[in-house]
Formats: sequence, C-alpha cells, structure tokens
Amino acid sequence: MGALEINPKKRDATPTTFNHKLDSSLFSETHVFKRPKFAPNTPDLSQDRPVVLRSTASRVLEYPEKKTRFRRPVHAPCRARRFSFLKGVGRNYVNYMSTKKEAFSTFRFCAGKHGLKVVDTDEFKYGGLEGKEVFDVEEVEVIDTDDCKEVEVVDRGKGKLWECDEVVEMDRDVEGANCQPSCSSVISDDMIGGNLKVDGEKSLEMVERREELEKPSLEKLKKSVEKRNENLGFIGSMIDFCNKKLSMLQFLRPAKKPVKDVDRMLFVPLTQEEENEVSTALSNAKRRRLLVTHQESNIEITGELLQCLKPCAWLNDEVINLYLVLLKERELRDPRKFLKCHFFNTFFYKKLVGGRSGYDYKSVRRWTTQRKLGYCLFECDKIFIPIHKEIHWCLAVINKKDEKFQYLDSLRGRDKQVMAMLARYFVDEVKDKSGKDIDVSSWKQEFVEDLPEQQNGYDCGVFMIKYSDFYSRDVGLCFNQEHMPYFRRRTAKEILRLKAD
Amino acid sequence: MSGTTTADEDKKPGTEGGAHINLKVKGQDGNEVFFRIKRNTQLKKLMNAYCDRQSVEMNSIAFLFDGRRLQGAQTPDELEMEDGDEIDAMLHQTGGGII
Repeated sequence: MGALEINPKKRDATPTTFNHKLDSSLFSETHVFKRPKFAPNTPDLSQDRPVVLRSTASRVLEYPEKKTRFRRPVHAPCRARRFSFLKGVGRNYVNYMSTKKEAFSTFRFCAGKHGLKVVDTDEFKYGGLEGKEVFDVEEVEVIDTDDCKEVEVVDRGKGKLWECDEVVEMDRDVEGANCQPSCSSVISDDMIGGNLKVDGEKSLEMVERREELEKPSLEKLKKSVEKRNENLGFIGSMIDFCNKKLSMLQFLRPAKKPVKDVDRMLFVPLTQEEENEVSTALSNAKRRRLLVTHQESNIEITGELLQCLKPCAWLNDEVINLYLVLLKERELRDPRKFLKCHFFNTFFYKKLVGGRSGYDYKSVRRWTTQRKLGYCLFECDKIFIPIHKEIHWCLAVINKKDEKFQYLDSLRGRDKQVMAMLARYFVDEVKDKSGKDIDVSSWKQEFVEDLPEQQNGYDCGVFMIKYSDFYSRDVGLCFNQEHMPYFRRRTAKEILRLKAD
Repeated sequence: MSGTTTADEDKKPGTEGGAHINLKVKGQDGNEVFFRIKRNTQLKKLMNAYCDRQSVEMNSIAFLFDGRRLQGAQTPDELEMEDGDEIDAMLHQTGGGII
C-alpha cells in the first residue's frame, strides 16, 4: 500500500506527460499487479479506490482475505516467498524485457550520446496487458556504452515500486538469472533441488578437503609428539641419574637423623595451657607470691624472681641456679640421653677466685664431696661453671670428654684467667678427691667462637643457660637470638613445673 | 689445714654433747662474723643477725653451706654442722650483658 501512496506523490513530484494521460482503468490494473506484495488482488478494489485516502485502521479492516493468486506450493516461508517473487517477477520480467526492447528500439536513434537520461513516455503506449508493470517505471536511466547493444538498465522505478530490501535482492537474482528470464516455478524448484545437490556435493568436497588439510597437520603433530617423547625420555633418564646421585650423596652424608629428633625436642612449642600458666606466673599479681620451692636445692622462686624471665629482663642467680639443678635432675632421670655433667652454681667461681690470693680452693673444697654430690666430680664428662662478671653472664666448661677448657661468651669476650683458674682447680680437685696428679697442660683452652651471639644487652643469661642445656645434650648450639623469647618462656615453664625437658 | 677438716668431717655430729655451736659467716669481701647458736635453733636467727649487722636486706643475700643454699627454717643439726663450720653470705647476682 505504501507503494500506492508513494506513487501518486511521485506522479505529482515528477510532472510527466504520462501522468496526465493516466486513466483510472490503467491505474487500477497496475494497482492490481502490485497486489502480490501487500494484498491479494480483488476486482472490487478498483471500485474502492477512494479507500486509499481513508485512515489506516479502516483500511486494514477492509482488507479482503488473502487469496493466493500464484499457483505455487507454499514452501518454507523465506525461501518460497523469494522464489514466488522470482516467479512473479519472471513473468513480469518477460513483460519488462519486451518493453525494454521497445524502449531500446526507440533509443537507438539517440544512442550516440553518453549517459543520456531519458524519460520515455512512449513506453506506456504499449500499456494494456504488456505494460502492466511498466506503468510504474517512471524513470528509466539508460547508460549507453559506446554503441554497444548491451545496455545496462537500472530500473529505479522498480525499487520504488516494491519499497523493500527484498526487492533489491530479487533484482539481483533476476540479473543473475538473466540466462533464464522465463523461469517458471518448476524450474525454480529444480534449481532449488540443484542448489541442494550442489550444496551436498560441496559439503562432501569440504570434508575431503578438510581431511587433506588435516593430513599435514596430523603429521606435524605426530612429529612434535615424537620429539617430545624423545625429550621426555631424556628428562626421565636425567631424573634417574639425579636420583642415583642424590642417594649416593645421602649415603656419603653423615647420619643426621638423631640430631633432627633432638631438634624437635629442643624447640617444642609451649601448649596453650603452659603459655597461660607462664603468663599468669609472670604477671604482677603474682609478684609477691612464692611460686615454687625446690626442696633439694632449697631454692625458692617468688613471682618477683621469676619476672627476670620476662622479655628484656636480666636473669638472676636464683633462676639460673634452679635451672641448672633441673638440668642435672634431667640427666639423672634419663642418663642415656644426656652426658654425665655437673653444674656448679653461680657462686662457685666467685668463691674460688675470692680471698686475698685470687685463688682459694679451700673455700670450695667441701662443695664437691662424693657424699654431697652422690657422684665423683671428675668422672663427669663436662663440668659447667657459670661465670658472673659484674653485669654479665658467661659460661666455662671443663670438658673432660674432649680434654679441653671452654669459654663461651655470648658477647664474644675472652677471659684467659678463667681458663687458668679452672685448670688449676681441676688439678687440685682431682688430687684432693682421688690423690692422683693429672696433667692438664696438654688440654686445649678454647674460646668458642662458633656460637650463637647476643644481639642486645639483656639476653646473656638466657644464652648462658642454653649453652649449658645444648652442651649437656652434646649437640651443636643450633639456636640464635630469635629463639630467646621462646627460651625465656620455656625456661619459666620448666621452673614452674620443676622439670626441665 | 685440709687434713683437720677431713678429720672434722669424719666426726659424728650426733655424738657431740654440746648444745651450742660456733659458726662463721664469711662475706663476699672476705669479712668473717662469728656466731654461737644452739644446734636446734633455726638458722633464720643467725641470718637476721648477720643482715642487721651488715645493714643489708635479707633477700639480697644468699647463704650457702658447702655450696648449698640455706633456708631459714633449717637448723645446724639438720645440716650436720660442726663447730667452726663456715657459712657463705653471697650477694645475689644479676646480669644481662653490656649496657
């Protein structure tokens, strides 16, 4: 219907002689021919011509039922419609071609001119039956290509007639099907079939081609896989080689497993319960309370004394002495796990070097009677002597096992006098208790250098007791400054439980 | 000297009939203070007397007998002390390193 509306406008817009000649019968007939697009043709529509001018709604109501004018089976909507158009157009095309021929015959006379734009009014003289379609061809642009008979005809009118994109496509189809301008529905059906066949063949061809294309890629893949297999084999052999090497090295390596077990014992974390116990004991509320009493050594630990195990606090002699007593008890509890040791208290060395001469064996002679100790001092593997230097704790060891005197200072201090005094003491002690003279001049005096060092001004006491702890286990000093907070809490726990682990 | 001490050690304390015992308290600086107390008297008395005399706090001194800590509740009889035995009065120690 849009076409119907537009066409009159066009007629108005383009004043042609043709328009004036147009009679109602011709109009109605052309109108009829356009029906296939929008509505089936009805004979009475020509009578109702004025309807066109009415409102859209009323017109829609007045649309007659669609009657298929074309003798064609209805196929799938899209395709069938397209070809139905083609059918119709095919017929139209015949008419169109005939009229075009006529037009060309008229144009022959002025063919010499290029790009001539002619509005052929004569075309419509052939109206009647033949000119049904041609009626709407208002403008025919003919571009004559240098006397060539083949004239490209662009039918603008048609495009306007159908007012639809499909029309354009159809035109193309028509152009493509120029060889068979009079194609019927049967032919078109055949063509569809042909197309389908062609499609099928094409698809088969495509499969074959794909296989052909895939063949080299498959080969390539195979090659790459082979290459990778080679690589994998090489890597596998390398892995085997490395494993063998590793096992060899492990075999050559000295057994470290026991040390690892000990390591686990050395750094056992405190349980939550123990942590809570330690925190409570170190709190100020417990400051004046007596926390523990060690009966054997008569050492009483009050909250105030234990607070030296708080971070950054200096260790006092009570805590150190009790801890060393606990280390001895630990050894007596499980003699196989620990070296046979004796731990002097923090006052021993002070007494030994006290007096006017700077060496007073007499004052400590009775400290180590077998009746008091329960064992003979010089039978011990190691004798630990805490050294108190004004505000600093160090450790000296009479290492009978390795026949050397050791001095461990977390600040790497050296005191040769300590070594000399201890050597002298040990000789006197052996002579006093057993009556034997021993020579310790061959014993090495070692200032241990490879030892964990103190990084602050308050942890030397903890370092000292831990040197004792680790040496009595006969393990390396495998700890450092970072462990000190843990050791403080662990020591507090061990003192509170009166049991060192 | 050592010989006489050994002889003392060998004596049986229980056999001594004397109710009193002479004890020597030796300070860290070498000063000696003599006390005469009953054998069954708690050493607390002696300690207090020593601290008073030296003008020091009780809890700043550690009393040792043959290297072992003394508790105030102990008596010379318990410790099998003999006449003339020496008690060490040691100052408590503390340390943390170099400031």
